[in-house]
Amino acid sequence: MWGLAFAAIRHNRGGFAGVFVAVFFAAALITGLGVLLESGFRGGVAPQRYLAAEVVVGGQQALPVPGDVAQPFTERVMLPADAVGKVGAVAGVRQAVGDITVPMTTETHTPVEVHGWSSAALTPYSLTAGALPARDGEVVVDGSFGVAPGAEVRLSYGGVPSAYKVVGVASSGGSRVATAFLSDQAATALWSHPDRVGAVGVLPQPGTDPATLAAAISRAVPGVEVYTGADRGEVESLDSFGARTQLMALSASFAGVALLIAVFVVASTLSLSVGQRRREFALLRAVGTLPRQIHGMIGREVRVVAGLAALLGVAPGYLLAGVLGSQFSGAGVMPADFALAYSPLPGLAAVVLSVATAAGAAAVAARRPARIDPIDAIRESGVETPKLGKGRVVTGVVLAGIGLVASLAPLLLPGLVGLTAVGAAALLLIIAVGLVGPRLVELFLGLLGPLLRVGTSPAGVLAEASIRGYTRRLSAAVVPLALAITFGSVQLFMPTTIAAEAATQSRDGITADYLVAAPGSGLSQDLAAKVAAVPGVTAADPVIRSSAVVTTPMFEDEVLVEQYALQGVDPKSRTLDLRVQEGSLERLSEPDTVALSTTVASSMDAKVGKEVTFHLGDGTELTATVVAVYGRGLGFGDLTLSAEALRPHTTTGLADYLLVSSTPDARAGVEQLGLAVQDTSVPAGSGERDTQSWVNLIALLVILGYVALSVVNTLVMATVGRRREFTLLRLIGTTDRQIRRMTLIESLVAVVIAVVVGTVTAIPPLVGFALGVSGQPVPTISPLAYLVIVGATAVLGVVSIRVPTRTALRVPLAP
Amino acid sequence: MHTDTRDPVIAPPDIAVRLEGVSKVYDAGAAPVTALRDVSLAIPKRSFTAVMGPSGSGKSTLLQCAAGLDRPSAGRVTLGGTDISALKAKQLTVFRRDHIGFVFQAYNLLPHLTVARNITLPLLLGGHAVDKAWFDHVVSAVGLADLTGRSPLELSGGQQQRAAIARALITKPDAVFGDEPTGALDSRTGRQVLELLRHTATHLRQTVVMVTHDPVAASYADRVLFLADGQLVGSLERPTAQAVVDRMSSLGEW
Repeated sequence: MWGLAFAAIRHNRGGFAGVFVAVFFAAALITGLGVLLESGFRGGVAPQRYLAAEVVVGGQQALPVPGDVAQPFTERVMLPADAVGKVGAVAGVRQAVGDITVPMTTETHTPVEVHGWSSAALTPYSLTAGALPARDGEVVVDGSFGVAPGAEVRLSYGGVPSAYKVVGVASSGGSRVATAFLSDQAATALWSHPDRVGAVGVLPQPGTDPATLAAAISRAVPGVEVYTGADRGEVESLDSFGARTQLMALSASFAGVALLIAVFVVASTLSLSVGQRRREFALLRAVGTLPRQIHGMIGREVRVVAGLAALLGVAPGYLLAGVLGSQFSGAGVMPADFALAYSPLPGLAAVVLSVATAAGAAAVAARRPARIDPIDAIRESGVETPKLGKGRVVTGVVLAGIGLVASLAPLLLPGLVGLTAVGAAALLLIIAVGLVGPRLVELFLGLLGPLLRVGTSPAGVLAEASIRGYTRRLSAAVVPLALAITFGSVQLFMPTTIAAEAATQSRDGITADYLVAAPGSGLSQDLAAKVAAVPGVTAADPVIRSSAVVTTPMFEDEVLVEQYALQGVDPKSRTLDLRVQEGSLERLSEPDTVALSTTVASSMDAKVGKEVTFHLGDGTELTATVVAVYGRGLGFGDLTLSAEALRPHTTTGLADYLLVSSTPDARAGVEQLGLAVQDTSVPAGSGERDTQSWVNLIALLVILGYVALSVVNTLVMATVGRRREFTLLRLIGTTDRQIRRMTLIESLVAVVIAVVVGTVTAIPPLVGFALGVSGQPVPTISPLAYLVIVGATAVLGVVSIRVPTRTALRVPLAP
Repeated sequence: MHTDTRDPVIAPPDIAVRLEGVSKVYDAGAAPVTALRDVSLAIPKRSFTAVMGPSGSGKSTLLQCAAGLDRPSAGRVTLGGTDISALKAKQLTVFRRDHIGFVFQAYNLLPHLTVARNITLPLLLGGHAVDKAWFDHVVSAVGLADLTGRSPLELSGGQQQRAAIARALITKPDAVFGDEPTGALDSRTGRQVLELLRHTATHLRQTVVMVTHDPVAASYADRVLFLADGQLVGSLERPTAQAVVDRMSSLGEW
């Protein structure tokens, strides 16, 4: 029976080319994403700073989520200083060293990590010249400074520079950032977390197995995370930890979509190619082939083609992983020195998954030919595929109804739940259009009828006849084109709607005259005081940006763990208008209080006076009383604490910017402090959104590429299937030019209907989304982006029909 | 083994195909179309029968019902002793594969399989071994002994029909049904195919039933059955082309 499969594949190369291409790209994509997913488990940055410490003890840097990837904390989870002693007391530990990292900058704003000298042994750094730092004002620097003992360097902490005397130069095997050492006392004085350390490095006694020691430490000191080997890179670089989680989440959801579309593309391509082999299957049925045997034949053919395509797609998949990796680190998803984990596993998984997917699609596509009426083998004319089943139409209408209702969910369900419903609504509407597409096309043709009749040219008359006679063939062209437009519009214009609303909120909400941003890692309280002291300055309010992890109940026992932007502000600030709807921000000066955006308030089901519990950026669980609910969460952050309360829970202990109000001439005085003064139009948190929208864009491009593939496949195959019709037309005297014009008119009609259907389908979810985001039913649409989507789809549609038509006409008419 | 399924009581052994009170109504919306009305006939084994009639007389429907491609609305069709109108869809498919041969007007062969593969396809589908002696016998009888390795696309129209006849014979069926088997051929090639069908009945001892509108083709048969308005209206034994023309003219437009 395999011989039959090979013979059929050789004969129907054209039909299988589409399947081959679809599976090839699916395999490549799954391999690439698989590498990223595996890197989420096994990849990371190589340890440098803690290379000499065979065991490193850190805080629990993520909130475990049942049944899902743990939600990482964005600030460093500190350890109490007495953990150093506890770890040191464990048998097998030669020395335990608490490490603190003070973020400083040089005069040229290059970041420098500053530690106490006792932690130099963890790398290890050793002096190559000079002496150890013993007193305040003395520093040992690494080679990257290019200075010798005796020189003076100026290092700033929180924007306030100090002069240090270089007493020594130290070197190590390698470091990703410039490093300097102060005396332990001087470093601790700058450290904003008294009685806490960032991590504890362990130098074991000779002959101690690191893994055994790590287990012993875990038992002796509860509530810590113990790292050995390559994992130590994680406690060094918080970005690396966050990157792993992001990679897992991104690549998993991405791979899911890719597989889904692969099923769609392979199934639609296959059912077209199978439809064109109708006579062949009818003959097979007439001579006694069982439906099961037809299933088997198509299944074998597909397994051969898909298997070959998948095997060939694996190698480019590994290359794709590298490309995606560098794009992701460019977008800020992961640090530049994050090493991906390459193993044969993703390739193997890709082959198995894509072949299984293709086999599943084949089972679906084989249902019709398996039940084909054997009498078709003796009928002369090719009959159009039967009408849409009633079940299919009913399903489509029901899904469209649910989709429309869900689009308006933000009116009833404020917050994230409403917006999530809108995302689902868009998918439902797309599926509904896929199901009832042919009916929609018939409807449109009825409306367009009078317009079509305008053409009296031979090509126009032929096109009209062919459009009316083969509605379903036309709808096969329209539906994928329309879906591409809907999908692209929804994916592109949801983020732009959010970004526009965030920018508006941020612009309207900052009542300060200007904004002083942090040079380097942040602004210290000293600096805020200095700015406030400039004559003419009436307000200099620090704003600290961080994040909170909020757990909200979703369904019965499901929980949704989400990270929200969190800001710390001066409760008495007059420079910020968060549009408080209830309560007062001034009460944030009371201990354990929080203000929530309307979005989070509704997700957490909280109002003023109620207590809510959430995790701060450093993992601290806080139970706080809600003192205010405000409207401008998108522009500023969904949770607000007082800056005083938030500062100890950030890694740096520094503010992100100052909101300054002053007399006009005082601005020069502020600039004289060496600070960058900015307009107030910079939306808070736009950086994170840029990363997110960039990642969305990659996803969108990949998926649209896939959809384009399916469009081209469908159109090319449909046109190739019309060769007989073209031959007949030519035999009765139609010129090639007339046939080309006929197909051009048909493709233009298809494109117009697709643009209308695709755009109309995108409107309800976008309007619902805009309602949820800004309360106004007007989404923010980039006309250029819309034109690009529509234009690309139109070109795709016309070209995919034009090229195969020309090819068909190139065949000379047999005498 | 397959003889076990037959009930010798239903049909005497010398009858290959028997139709008893067969009617076929196509339910085409508001106005049902009756294609066959209460047709009863018996076709003896090892005979060559032609079915003729004007367009719309129901001759194709008769063939489809007799050959198990379609089910009658009423009545009974018995093939080689099996009541095929009582078979379920899957059983009918298997029965068709193992006991019935077909020759259509065109598109008889899968273009991607060799001639030999096409001929042995029903055996492959049924999981039966090829009887080498019978294969050689059939292939040489249809005159394709040297062409079995070819692709159907390399064969002439007449050669393709002869390959189709070979495929129809490979299972030693109870009956071979032809639907205008010479309709797409020129007269000389058509004559060769008809001679082959004649040979099939006489020397290979097979039962052949053929629908045709060509009086010359019908003259090759042992007997011609005439159909009009879905009813059997007569028959002609040992026909000549002229006798067929005369009878057809009396039936009206054809």
